Amino acid sequence: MRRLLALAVLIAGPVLYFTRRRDERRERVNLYYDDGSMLTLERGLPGSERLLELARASLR
Amino acid sequence: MGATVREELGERLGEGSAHTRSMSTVRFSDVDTASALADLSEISSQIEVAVVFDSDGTVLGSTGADEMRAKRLARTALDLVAAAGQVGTGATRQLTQIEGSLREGSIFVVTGEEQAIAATTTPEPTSGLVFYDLKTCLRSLVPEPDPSGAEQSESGQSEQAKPAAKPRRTKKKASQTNEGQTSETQAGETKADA
Repeated sequence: MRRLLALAVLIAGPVLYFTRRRDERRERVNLYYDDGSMLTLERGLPGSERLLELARASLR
Repeated sequence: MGATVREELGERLGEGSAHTRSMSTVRFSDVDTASALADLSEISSQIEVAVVFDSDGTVLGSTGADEMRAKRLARTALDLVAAAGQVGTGATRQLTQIEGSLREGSIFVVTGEEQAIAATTTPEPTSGLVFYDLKTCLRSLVPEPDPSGAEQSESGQSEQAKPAAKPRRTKKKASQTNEGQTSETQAGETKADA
């Protein structure tokens, strides 16, 4: 039983970790300009935190 | 902060331009906004809340939210536009659309000439469709020039413009011949006189 539990933790842990990381990386802000260009700001890039914070606030 | 945001969005939405000033006399009826938003929520199942607002952040209409939520969304969208304006700005390009994608959902903002529209959606929406629907909604709110008013004020000009178009057609035909120019301009003048 303990082995089974340890195995489940070993499998589920990384899966959850990487799923969360992937979801966090997916958080982004796309800015579209009138000349047809687009700027993508992913989490961690300069200026992205403020925009993501505002985006989150708008969803509340 | 609020005033700065208003100023920035005002500039971005073309506030103060001759075009805006002339159009600002036109009032958007609540019915138009409500029906446009009703169409929007009917068309797009991904949109949860949508709000139309002006450069001051005044809510002109909303769907799927109470008044407080709509005001808050409009205010946050204004802040988002202002903050986005400070990122990656180029002197030549203007910010027109914003998409913020989060795990909880997404926010879309489309800025227009006088108004802007913001909408929140379910997670991982079809961005292109949402933008299309929002732009269509925003476009439907822009009042078209009144044709009867134009006729009354510019009746003299429109009467002159119609005969002026005819000689251009004859000009192309006539230019193929050597006699061309003089004969066709005379024809145009006689038509205009008639």
